[in-house]
Amino acid sequence: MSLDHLDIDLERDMFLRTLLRELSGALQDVVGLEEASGYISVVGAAVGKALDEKYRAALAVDRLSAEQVAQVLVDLKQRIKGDFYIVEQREDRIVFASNSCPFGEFVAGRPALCMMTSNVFGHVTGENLGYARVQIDKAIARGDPGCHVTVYLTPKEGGGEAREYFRRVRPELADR
Amino acid sequence: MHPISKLIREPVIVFAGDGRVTDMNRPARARFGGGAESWREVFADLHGLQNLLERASGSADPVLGALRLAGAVPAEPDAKVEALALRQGQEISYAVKLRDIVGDQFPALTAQVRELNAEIHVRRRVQAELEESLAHNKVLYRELQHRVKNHLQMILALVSSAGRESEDPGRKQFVKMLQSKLSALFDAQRLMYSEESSHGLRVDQMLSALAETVQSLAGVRIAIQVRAEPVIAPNDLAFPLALIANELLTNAVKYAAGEGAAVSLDFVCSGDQAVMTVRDNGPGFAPTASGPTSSGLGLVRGLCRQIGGHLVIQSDGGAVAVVSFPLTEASHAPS
Repeated sequence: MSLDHLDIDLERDMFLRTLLRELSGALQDVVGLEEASGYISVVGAAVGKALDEKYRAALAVDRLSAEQVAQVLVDLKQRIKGDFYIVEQREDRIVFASNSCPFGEFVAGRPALCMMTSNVFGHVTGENLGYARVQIDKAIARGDPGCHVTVYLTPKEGGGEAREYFRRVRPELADR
Repeated sequence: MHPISKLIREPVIVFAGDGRVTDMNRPARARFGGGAESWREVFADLHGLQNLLERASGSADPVLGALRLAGAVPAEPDAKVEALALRQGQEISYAVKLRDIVGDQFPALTAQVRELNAEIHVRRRVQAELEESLAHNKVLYRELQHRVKNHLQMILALVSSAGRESEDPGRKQFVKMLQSKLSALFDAQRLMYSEESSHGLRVDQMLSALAETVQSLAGVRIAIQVRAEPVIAPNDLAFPLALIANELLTNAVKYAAGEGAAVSLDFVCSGDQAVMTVRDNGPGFAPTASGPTSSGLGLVRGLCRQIGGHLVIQSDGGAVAVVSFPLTEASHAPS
């Protein structure tokens, strides 16, 4: 008997977002918010690296400019239904805002997932411009009505809650 | 190392960009030796370490990872680590902390644990060898059972053939008796070969098989009802029990009364005692009987002594033979 007619809110995207919510929830519960954020940062950095490579290849550039970085971050968020837009772009910062999260309502109570945004933004910016300091001023995951993210492009002493990102260097370890 | 590192109980090692060890805190020195100079003396995975440090170089915060420690035994999981890039101008060095590995505060205990681990390692190896040897022996044992079964079958065929060829009624009777006893042994052996367990066999299955054999050898239509509990009997009990049951059933079939002849066999267990009762509806038992039957009962009594049991024969609407014997620890209900 086919159950196609049943009104069940389930398809692949919904399932994956549920999976992610439960996975991040389990992480937060088992190892605590700080360490869970650390684990999700590892994933975020890897995703950021992959996306950065895709955009650079698509735009056929070796490094993105500051304007391109801003456009890329907005574009990638919009592609995943994040509805981000640029509030302000200055020499030393880019400010983004959004009224919806790519994870939808599944992000509520999962602030560790904000590390995905921080790391993807930080990695793409740091890798192309050499430095990034990502501050999540407001987050839907923390109960705010929208997200507000500032990416600082220049270092500053005592960066507060912001996380800093740099262009990566692969160390040449002597094999001895 | 910065004095604040004294607050960190886990080992922390500082590497230069080329992998040289430039500093270690006290727990790290206790674990890797104060003379460690290269990453090779700490970690066993070049690419894993390179990837971790590369990731750390992209962040101002510590990044998490897992790396194989130098000298780790195969069963040992990778060590959980945290790496932090330390920037001084253009120069980057890296501090790597081994998480969840508290510095060795109890060296004597650690040494003992290591000794125990080494012993466990040796024992596991010995156990693996023994398991292999046991598996080999099981194959050999099974092969032996198979051959014994085949040889018994061959002997049975030779005996049957000799019986068919003889015209002498006395010899025919002797052959039939011999055939019956060998068949009992063959049934038990056949079941033992077909059972997975090499330690014993199911009494209920064995008694049912015996009843069928006795029925077919008797050459008359007679109902033998078997009611037996599914107990596993060890080999040293199963074979005498098969011969006893065969003897009692053969007698019962022989003396059961004409048209409505009926024979029953009950096998029940209670605690560590088992009781096997063979009943027929014949004329009952005459204590002074002599001849083949009494020699058969002599065999039953001898076998009863062998398994530590005793035989009681009475008349109660026919002959009733009751064999009681203890069950050993090896006897048990199958799972």
